Parts: sequence; C-alpha cells; structure tokens
Amino acid sequence: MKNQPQAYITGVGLTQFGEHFDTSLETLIIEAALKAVKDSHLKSLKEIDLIIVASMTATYLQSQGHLSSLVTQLLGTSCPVLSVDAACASSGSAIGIALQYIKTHHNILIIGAEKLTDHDVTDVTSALMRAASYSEEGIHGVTFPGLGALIAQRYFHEYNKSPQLLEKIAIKNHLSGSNNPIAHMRKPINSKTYQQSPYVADPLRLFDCAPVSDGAAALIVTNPQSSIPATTPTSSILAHAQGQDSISLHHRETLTSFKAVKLALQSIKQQVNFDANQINILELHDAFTILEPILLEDLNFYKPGTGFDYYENDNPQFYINTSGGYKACGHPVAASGLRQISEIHHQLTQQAQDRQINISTSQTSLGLTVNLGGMAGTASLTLLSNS
Amino acid sequence: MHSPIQTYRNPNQLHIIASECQECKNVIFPYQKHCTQCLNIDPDKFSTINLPQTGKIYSYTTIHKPPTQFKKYTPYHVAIIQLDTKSDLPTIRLTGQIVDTHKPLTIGQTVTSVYRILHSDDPAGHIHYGIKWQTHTE
Repeated sequence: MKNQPQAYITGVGLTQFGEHFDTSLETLIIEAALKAVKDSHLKSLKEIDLIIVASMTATYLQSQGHLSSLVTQLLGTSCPVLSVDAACASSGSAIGIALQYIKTHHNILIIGAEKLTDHDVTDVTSALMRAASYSEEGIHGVTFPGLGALIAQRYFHEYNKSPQLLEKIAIKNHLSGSNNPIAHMRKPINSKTYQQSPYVADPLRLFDCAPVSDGAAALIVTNPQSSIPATTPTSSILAHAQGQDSISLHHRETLTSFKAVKLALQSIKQQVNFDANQINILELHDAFTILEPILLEDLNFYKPGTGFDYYENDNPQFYINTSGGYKACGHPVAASGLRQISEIHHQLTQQAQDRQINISTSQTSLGLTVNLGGMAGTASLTLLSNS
Repeated sequence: MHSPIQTYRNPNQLHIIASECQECKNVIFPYQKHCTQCLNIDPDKFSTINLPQTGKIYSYTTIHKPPTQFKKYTPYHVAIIQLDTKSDLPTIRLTGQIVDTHKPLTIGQTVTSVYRILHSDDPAGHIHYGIKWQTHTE
C-alpha cells in the first residue's frame, strides 16, 4: 500500500475533560493551543500560518461570538483565523478545511473548545438541541438523548434485539476511560451501576449517554513537504471525508443506518487504497451507546443488525474507543473530534501509556475516527497511519 | 414564507399539508413554494396537498430529562409518526408528542392528530400551538 499523506499531525494538546468550574472557555482554548505547539517541532506560535477554531455553544452559553478575533487576542497571533460550526462534528469539519489549506500553508493549528458546565442542565440540553431541527424536532420537546432513543427503539424493533445489549458498550468504554488521564469519568462501572441508572429517554439510561463536559483539544497539522525532526512523534492523515444527511431524523429513509457515514466512507475509499484488515483502532462517536454498533455496520465491519456481535468476541481484530470514547472522556462538543484524532495519534506513535495497544513499528497500522455532527446529519471520517 | 410550524396551522389549524410542484410533480414536505428538483420558484405553480390526520408510530421514546421549556410536562412521550398516506404519495414522517395515553406505546400503533399548546416561552411570552398525537381508544 502506497498512499501519500495529505498532511502530518505533529502536535496535539488536550486539556483535562470534565467540570472546569474555575476555568473559562478562553483559558481552555489557550491551554490546548499551547500544549499542541509545545508537543510539536514548532518553537513558537509565530510558525503557525493559519488557525481554525470551533465551538458549538459559545454563542449561546457564553454569549461569545466572533471566535476568530477572540483567538487572535488570546494567542497573540497575527495569522488568519477561521471559525467552523458543524455541531459535534465542528472539529472534524475543521480537519477537512485544514487539509485543503495545508497545500499552500506550512502549519495549521486547529482548536475545538466547549464550556458546558456552570449552566442549568436544561439550558445545556436546550443548547445542544440546536444541533437538530428546531422547527420540526426541538419545538416538540425532543432532546438529543431523545433522538438517540428514537434510533435505538427502532433498531431493537427492526432486528428483534433487546436494549440489554447496550450495557456491554457502556461497561467497555468506562473501563477504557479509567486508563485515560484526561477522561471526565475515570471509574469503571459494573452491570448493577448501569441497571440502576435512571432512564434519560428510554431505552437509553444515564450510562448510555456521554456526560456534559468542559474541555478543549488542539492539533498541529503540517504540510507533507515539510522536514520534521525525527524526534517529533508524527502520524499521517491519509484521508478525510465529510458526508451529509437531513438535520431532522424523520426525513431519512431509515433510522438504523447513517447515510452521512456511508457517503464519507465511499469518499475515503476513493482517496486511498487500503485494506480494512490494516485498521487496528477505531475511535467511534459514542455520545450514545447505540451509535457504536450502528457505525460498525455502516463502516462494513458487520452486516446490518449484527453490530452487537463485536461485543461477544473476546479477541476482536481491532480496538474501539481505547480512550473511553465520548462515554467516559465526556463530550465537550467541538473538542471531541480532535480528541478522537489525538487518541489515534497517541496510539500510532506509541504514546498511549497504559492504554497502548500493540502497534507494529515495521508495518503500516491504520486508525479511523468517526465524528458525527448532530444525529449524523454530518459525518466526518479521518484515516490516519503510523507511516 | 411561513415557518413549518406555522404552515401546519394553515389554512385550517388542524391540517397537515405538503405542496406539489406543478412543473415536476415533486411532493415537498414541510410545505414550500420552492422546488429544489426543478428550481421552480413561481408561487402560482404549486398546489396544496392535504395530508392524513392519522398515522402509525414509527419509533418512540419517553423524555425524562427535558429542555428548559418542557420541564413542567416531564415525563412526556415523543414519536416519529409515519402518516397514513395513500400509495400515490411518498412516505411522509414527522415528529411529535403522544398525549393522553397511560398505556405503553408500541411501534405500528395508530395515532390521530390533535391541536394543543406545545410550550410557552415564559409567563409573559408567546404560547406556541401545534399538533400532538393521541393513540386510538380500544
């Protein structure tokens, strides 16, 4: 397989994900950005020639718009700054834009940040619901977990399966998250904890839903023609694609499969020649547990209705959400897509510490992220490699 | 142009309507006098289709953690409803609340539209009206 990288990832920066009651959105942005630059081969922010920033709820919860100028002030930079919104896939969209701009730029800094705590949970629920259709869904009182529940209910109906199956996904991802120092939720859970958790929107329980978290993530994307010191851990972006679907669930032909994911996968396959067997690790959008098996089906790893089979296999061919996923890391909306890419980068460059999986240093290893915006109205897929 | 929720109330409050492009016969829901298939934007070249007031539950859930405006109604049922359209129309689904039921919901159950308050912004604000759905009495 000979695929030219579209760009290198040369630095990542993550804040702790969780409840930052003593930290502002601004501080989270600065912390992630500086950590990413320090992690890279760059000596200063002056070497960045473009910044892309994403935050879904800043205009609503912090009453803060015009993030491009805000970031310029916070980082003291003078390069252009672009601001992107695609709900939870904001930072995934930012990757797509960065890959176009990198052809004529040296180093691009991408930042995703969200500050969700400090607000009444119903206000946060309302803010997040802005990623769905207000006039057709929000006005009827549907919530995001509600949309996930509508999908889950239909899935279990069509394939005659039990919602009990969701439990294993929650337990798996919380166990993985217990090894991730930046995760919001660092305690493993057992079946009893899961079963005793209340329904948020049945059949989804509290432990089927990603927690509301603050956090920021940043990446340095570097032109593939650049010379990068051998001492800088580097992974390659082989391909990125974005697929779209209607914002309202009820306008879709099916609830049990995501057209946006399938469209993005088709585009990835047109960009690169790769063997699915080379994928060692997936970071899947598990804001709700039901999404993981559906994504496994949409990525063609499992046939429709059989995605839950993955969780019955004690020795699977690839790992899913070694980070703990959205489930355990928490979901600071626009930071999550970059956090997923950071996990794959850390795994492929042997920096994942207690979570490190076996990655060959002599052979090509691949990792794929699926970052959804809204309830898969946008799907952003990024394929990374260790070489 | 009206928002979709206003068009649910137009011309008769309980009517759920779609439009049909007279140029290419495209059925548009929610109602619009703009056709993305043939780019027709002449408002006189669209007809109105009255959709059925009954449908079947396609999927459903019960919301236990509501957004701000729905706190006082919690818990409440929401569903995706597939309208009982005849075979000459495409499949049309919409989202709404199921009300006045104390029995467990099931997929495939028949529901009928009713006109209700959806929510109010605040004690001095607008009251938003729209369509909710009742299950049939056995």
